[in-house]
Amino acid sequence: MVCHLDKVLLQRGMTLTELSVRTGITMANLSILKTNKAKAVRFTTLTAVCDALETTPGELFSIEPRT
Amino acid sequence: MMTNVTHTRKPKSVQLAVISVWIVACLAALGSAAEAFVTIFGRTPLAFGGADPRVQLVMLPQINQAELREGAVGYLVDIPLWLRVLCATPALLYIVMALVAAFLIARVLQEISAGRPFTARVRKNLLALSFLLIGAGLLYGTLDATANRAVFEVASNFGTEGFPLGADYAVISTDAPRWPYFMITSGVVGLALSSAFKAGGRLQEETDGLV
Repeated sequence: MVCHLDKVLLQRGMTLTELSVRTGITMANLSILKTNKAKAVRFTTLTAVCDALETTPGELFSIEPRT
Repeated sequence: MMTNVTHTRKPKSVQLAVISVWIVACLAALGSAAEAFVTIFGRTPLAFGGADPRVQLVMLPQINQAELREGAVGYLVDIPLWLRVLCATPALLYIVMALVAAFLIARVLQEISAGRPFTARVRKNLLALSFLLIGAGLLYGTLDATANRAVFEVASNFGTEGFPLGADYAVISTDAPRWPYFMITSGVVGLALSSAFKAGGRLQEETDGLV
């Protein structure tokens, strides 16, 4: 599972700091998400990020084959 | 919100706690060392102004009462050395137990203060501390009971050995064996705590990386 948060942020012209302020999610957690280090995501986190970026989980995440 | 940032507790309070633990342990060890010295050597560690440092038989930890017959003279040092050493073994064990316990507690506190309360190291130290308290407590009671019995047997052995305790005592009574129930109970509580920390460790592993 790959997270495309950095791509979506770029498309929306938003920084990680702004997203943190809008969603209330810490920079540390958003960074973990952005760098694909997260092992699990809460629905509340997913909802907050999608609402703030006006996007869908399908645009945020994709599945890629293991290399 | 869970994060992967390790929190550092206030280091000063932990330092104070560690220092306090060591102070208490050292004082306890010193007290036991003094008791062991008096028991084995039959004299006080310090005696000034030409005072007689020899102590009475009643200073033996296992003796409750020891009254010399009128005109008789006797001291703790008059009883056999092997009996004095046996009676001092609980105190000697306590010295080791206090210092090792302080070492383990200090390690646990330092790990917790570094924001790593649920690591395997903390759980192992807590388990070791628990078993130390339970084991040392049971051994302490056993040693004291054995010494108690030995004093009784020696005191009762009037046979052809004259005064078995080195002097003519009119009254001798022994104390009940000392079992450190509080120490043993603390060890059991420690076992329960280590189970809780194990569960905490599992919880931390499950939520590690959760955003």
